[in-house]
Amino acid sequence: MEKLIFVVDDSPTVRSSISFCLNNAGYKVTEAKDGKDALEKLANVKEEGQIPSLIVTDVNMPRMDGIAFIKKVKEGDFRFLPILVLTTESEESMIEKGRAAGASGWLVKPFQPEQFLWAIKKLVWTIDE
Amino acid sequence: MNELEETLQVFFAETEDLLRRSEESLLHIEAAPGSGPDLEELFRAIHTLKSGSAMVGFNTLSGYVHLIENLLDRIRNNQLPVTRPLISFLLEDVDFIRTMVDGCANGADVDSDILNARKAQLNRFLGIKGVKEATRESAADSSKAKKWHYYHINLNFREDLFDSGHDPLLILLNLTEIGECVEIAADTSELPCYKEMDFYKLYISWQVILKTTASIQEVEDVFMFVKDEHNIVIDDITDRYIEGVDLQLGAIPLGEALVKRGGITKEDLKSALDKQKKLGEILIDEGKINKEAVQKMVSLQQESRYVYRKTSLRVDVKKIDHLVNLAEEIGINLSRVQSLLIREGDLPRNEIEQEIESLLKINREFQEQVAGIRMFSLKGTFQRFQRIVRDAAYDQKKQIKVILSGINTELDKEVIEYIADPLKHLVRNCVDHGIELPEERVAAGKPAEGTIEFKAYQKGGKIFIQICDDGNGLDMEKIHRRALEIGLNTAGEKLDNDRLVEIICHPGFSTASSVTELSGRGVGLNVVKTEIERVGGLMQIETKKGKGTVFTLVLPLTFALTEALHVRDQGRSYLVPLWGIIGVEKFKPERVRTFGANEKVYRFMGEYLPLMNLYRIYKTMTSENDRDGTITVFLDTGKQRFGILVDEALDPYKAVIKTIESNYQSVRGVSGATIMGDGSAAIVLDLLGLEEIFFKTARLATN
Repeated sequence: MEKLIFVVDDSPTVRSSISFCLNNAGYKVTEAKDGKDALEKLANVKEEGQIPSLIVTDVNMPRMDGIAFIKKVKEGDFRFLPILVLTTESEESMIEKGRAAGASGWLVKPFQPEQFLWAIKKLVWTIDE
Repeated sequence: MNELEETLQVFFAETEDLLRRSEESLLHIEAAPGSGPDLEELFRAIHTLKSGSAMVGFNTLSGYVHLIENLLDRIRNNQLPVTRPLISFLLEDVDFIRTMVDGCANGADVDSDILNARKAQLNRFLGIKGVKEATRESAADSSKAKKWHYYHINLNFREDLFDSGHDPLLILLNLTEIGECVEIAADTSELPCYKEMDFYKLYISWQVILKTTASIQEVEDVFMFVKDEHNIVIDDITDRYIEGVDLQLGAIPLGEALVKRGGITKEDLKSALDKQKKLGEILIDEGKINKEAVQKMVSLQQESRYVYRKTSLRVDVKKIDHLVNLAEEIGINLSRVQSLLIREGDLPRNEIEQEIESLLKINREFQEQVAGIRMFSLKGTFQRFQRIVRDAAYDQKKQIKVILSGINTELDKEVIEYIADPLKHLVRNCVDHGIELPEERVAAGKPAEGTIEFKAYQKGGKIFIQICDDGNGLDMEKIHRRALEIGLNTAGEKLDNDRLVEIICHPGFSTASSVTELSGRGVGLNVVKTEIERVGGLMQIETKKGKGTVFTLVLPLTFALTEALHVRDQGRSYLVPLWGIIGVEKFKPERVRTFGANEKVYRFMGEYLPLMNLYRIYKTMTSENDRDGTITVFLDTGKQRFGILVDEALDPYKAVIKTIESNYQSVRGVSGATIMGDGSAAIVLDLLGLEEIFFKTARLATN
């Protein structure tokens, strides 16, 4: 079964490039443009009976930022879902905040596709459970 | 000596070398902060030290050095500026590592309070490590040659691991992707009974032995997202994992093994150890022995270990390789001679002679090389002084520049060992009493920065080591007063340099107004003089008020290797030390001018130099040999230039000089003798003595 990965970023460019990369590697992707959007889509997915394997989220986003979003996720049914945080170099302190909120890993932008997939592999099962 | 001890010996010797090099690099970096090559050299030394100490199982040491390596890496990448406090810290580190190494040698543990304090400070310099560094390091490591490694990995996750979205099984699975898990053991002892279990908590820990070609960095990368928050210990056991057993476990104390594998923390161990009394204390408490006796034994043990360490010799592999090659060549030549001897028909005399000739040549080289193994340059010793000066100057707020010259002068290792401490004392003396404070120097019209120069050279069959400072010079008035006080001198007596040495080296003599950590305890110079004299050397002092002081140690050449020109005259072999030779040429009668009966001068490089037949100097003249030699050797002793006439000049030769004093008596103009490659004896000329005879004879002749 294809694994479902949530990609949360306010930049369409980042979203699509990440999606492209993940699709190529055989993952299914759901995109969301900020924390609020992502929470709604997670709820939809849950109704459909699906379970995502990973959330990849940006930190700095309008309406609901990454940290607040992680905290919300950690309160809900998907609290044990791994979350990968994307930060830019100037937001290195965010790594700590993200970790405190419950993020599983982090990656500093810009990154190479290999680096990204390498990090994904640390968090998502590549064989069926 | 078993293999482990041998490895340790090599490690100790190498470590000392690495630390010395680190110091040197640090001093260079301090002088020129932008120095890339020095930083690289320092980094390499520290890196080697890290892997070396890990290899021999000194993990505390290796862990600490690893932190330093990280720090240097940050400096290297311009993430950390080079500041004076940073350099000082690193220099202290070198000392600290030295004590740790000594501790390792003596089986003593390093004071964990000091260790932790230093670690904390290192971490402050380090700051937080980002993700980019980790990936770059792994890229660099992957380029290394592939070979199997065994890692023992202790996975002790926190029980809330699941809350951060991690799955221990996935992490183990990732591990299998970079290698094979030869052993996995799950520790379920923490697992509560079913009713008390919280299903969202982790109770299990794992021990894994991983077989892989990956570097330790790559293994660490598997735990990239969890290693900071969870207790994960990766231990490279490649060199001691044999037949499924970690050999080290038997070699370390139980406590350490339990920390490594048994899941107790270092703190647990420490608090348990604190409750434990030392053997000596128990014995004292029980009244079986007194404290002094225990302390005496401890110091005896330390001394014994120190001597044991000192007796090992670190030899450049190149020298050994050269010897091995020569030994092989000798073997080849011998078998060739053998085959020539058993060949049928007449003996091929010419060929055999050729072979013997080349055997002699090889043997000569062999002898030189073997003798050379004991010889060490003064480089290491001098560089240590550089460090001492730097530290002492820093403490006393003085500015001192150090100049080294002649650092490649070679001395017998034993002589070096003997003079190291006395020299150290002289160096401290220079900083302490010689160089003035910057303001005083400026007031005296001198540059604020003082200079101490270390010089070494070989002259007249002796090794000279000089320590020159441009400080204030010795206070002769004060010395005079003090000499009167302790009854060494009479009121009117003038102090010449020889007398000066005698006085200031007198036990109990000290004019220092205060006793500093460095010198001024009043016993110093006395000990220095005694030590120097013990190896047959002597000490000279020259001082000029306001200009500075020069301490000169004149050391015997007993073991020293001398480079000399082999000359022959009247059928005898002589060795002329190369340092004094300024030219060798064929004797040209038209360049000679004669005065009186025997006095000749010879034009050399536009200058007329006194010239004499060597046989005249040594009075080996007989009636039939009263003729001029055919080769002129020109000498410069520093004071005089002159030429000697000999029959033949052969190859330069490296000789181990043996004194003839011990077997015969001191002969003027002769510093010793040596056995030449062909088995004959050759006289080694003492150029200073020669000069004296030369000019005296010349004067006599003129009269």
